[in-house]
Amino acid sequence: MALGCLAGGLGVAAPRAFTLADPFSPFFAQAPGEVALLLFRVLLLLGLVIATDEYKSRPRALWLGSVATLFLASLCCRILLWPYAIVALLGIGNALGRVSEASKPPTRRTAWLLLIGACIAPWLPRASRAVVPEPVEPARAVAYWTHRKNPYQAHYRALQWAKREVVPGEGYLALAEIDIAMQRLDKARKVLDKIVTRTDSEVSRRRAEARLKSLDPAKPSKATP
Amino acid sequence: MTGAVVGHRRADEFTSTLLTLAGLSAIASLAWYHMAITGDGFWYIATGRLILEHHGLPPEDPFCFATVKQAWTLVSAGSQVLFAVVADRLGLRALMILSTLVELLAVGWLWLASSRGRGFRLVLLPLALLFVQLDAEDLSARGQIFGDLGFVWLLLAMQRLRHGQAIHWLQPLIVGALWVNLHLSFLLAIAVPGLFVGALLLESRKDRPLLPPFVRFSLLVLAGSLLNPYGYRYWIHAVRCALDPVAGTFDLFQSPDLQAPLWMLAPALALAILVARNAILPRAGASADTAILLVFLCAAVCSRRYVTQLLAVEMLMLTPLLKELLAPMRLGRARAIGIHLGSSFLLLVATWWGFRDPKDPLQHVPAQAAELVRHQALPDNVMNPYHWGGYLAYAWRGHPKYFIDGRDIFGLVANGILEDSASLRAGAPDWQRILDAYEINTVLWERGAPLDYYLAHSAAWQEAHRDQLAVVYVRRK
Repeated sequence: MALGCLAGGLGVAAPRAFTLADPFSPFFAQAPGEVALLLFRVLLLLGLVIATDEYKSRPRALWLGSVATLFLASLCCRILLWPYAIVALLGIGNALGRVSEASKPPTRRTAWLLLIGACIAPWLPRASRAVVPEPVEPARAVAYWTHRKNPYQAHYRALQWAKREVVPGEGYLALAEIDIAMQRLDKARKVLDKIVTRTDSEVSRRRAEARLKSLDPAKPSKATP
Repeated sequence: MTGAVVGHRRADEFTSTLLTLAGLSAIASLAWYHMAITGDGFWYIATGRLILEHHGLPPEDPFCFATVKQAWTLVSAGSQVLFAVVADRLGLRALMILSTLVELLAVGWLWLASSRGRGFRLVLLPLALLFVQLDAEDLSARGQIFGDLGFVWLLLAMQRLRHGQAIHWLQPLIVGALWVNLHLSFLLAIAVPGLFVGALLLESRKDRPLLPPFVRFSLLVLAGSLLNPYGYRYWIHAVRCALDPVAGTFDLFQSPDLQAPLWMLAPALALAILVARNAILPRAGASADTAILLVFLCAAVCSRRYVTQLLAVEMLMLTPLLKELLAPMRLGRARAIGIHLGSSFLLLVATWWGFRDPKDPLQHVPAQAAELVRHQALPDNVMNPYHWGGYLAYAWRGHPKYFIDGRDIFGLVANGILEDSASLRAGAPDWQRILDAYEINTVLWERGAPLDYYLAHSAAWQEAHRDQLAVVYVRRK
């Protein structure tokens, strides 16, 4: 039974447990998969505590003391997760094998459940905050930063976009909109005037004129005859 | 009663009192030695001033130019007002003294409550001092000191409930109302009773206390915590702060260095207590103790913030173990008195040593550089490191505005400026792009940092000031 526990536990946990990037480094919860491996350690320890419930004081202290020491060592140096898991599984298997027929079924059942839980733990997905990366395409990058309420980054992206335009167009319009949002109306007017005087797109010109009117309805734009 | 017995009793009381006083003064002196006012403490003061000026919550962020203006949720408003009043009326050193006294109250209370008996007091004092030492990197005048005090109260309350003793219903209600306004850790007072209920369910019915009092306690704290400026919305914000992975990018909420002996002590002690609890003491209560220890152990190895809380749990669990282990030991009266007097003397020497430092409240902040920027009206926008932003809020009062601080990492700085600040701090190669994007014309930064090097070697920037701590650069026109 002990060997069965050992084989089963290691076999299921192996793929996660053995991809340690820096095996001699200490436990670091923020590294991928580490929290699941911590849960794995804890469930094994709990399994041993429950499985050895009927042991006398001294042998129980020896088993728990050894496993607890290896638990601690595996926090200091992650490669020691191997010996910890082996000793813990051996201890659980040995204890479950020795449990008398008259023992309470819940103890054995609980120990088995914890052992299974320990095998599953390394497969648990890690919680992470999904950060959408910034789009490369200029219009989407401007929209991305606008949505994130960062007018400075949006302005910078719009400025880079506008600089790449041969004649003022969408990039200039986006730049003007951001200047308006940042309450820089003079700058916005300058940008819109450039569009009106230099663009070769009728659509862009009309949009710029309409925006200029909305900024100051009484003030005529430069392009008005 | 013979004169000898009376004399012995008086000697015992004297040495006990002396040890207690020496221990408390040693705790206070160690807390004072590590006490500081960092960026966080300064924005507490700055925000408290704003609350007092507005007679309420400020409508938007007046300090930073790049934050999401209307997204500011003030946390720990009560602490901020208190800090502002103390700092402005009594001075910054008075604030440090107040913070030291609060820390002394928390740790001293824990020590005295967990060590019933003179022998235990001496044995547990190193753990109390370890509590302060582990807090050293983070011990500063900010709401966390109230969090430590609240957690000690919480643990002692749980102990009372576990022993079947009643707690007046007003206590959790009032403490909940106070704690929610002093520090975000009030959530512990709602969650930890649930942890105890879960742990106690592992015990047989005859071995566990009544569970409804724990639930009632938690609900009363929850009700009390509604008394905050935001009502129930503050709970949502607090839970978000607790669970958001962004918190994991901060030093305080990352795993401690588990190869450093100092940080391994608490986990090692937890495992030792777990083994002893299951192998030595009677089984009644062992499952619950094991579960509670393991939960706090996991929290401590995942986040440095919880190591002191693990230590607090351990100190309370050690008492029955010490009774079992120390019972066979019998020291002669003379030897015991000698040990206690000697220990008291050493503690008083350590106390004197710890209080020697007069403490400059501005030791960790760029006071000179900030004064220069303001006095010479250097051109904005001003770029600063994250951890100095709080001081700039205090010193500049919104004029000029600066880039970032730590007031609200989930609302104010959720627009990417936190990541950009981290990039600059790490010496990212696109530093010039970031400075251009935010239209930075003045940089107030840490001396010797990568950005200092880049700016010093850039023709576009001119150095305006350099001191022990900080440098100031201005963009050339």
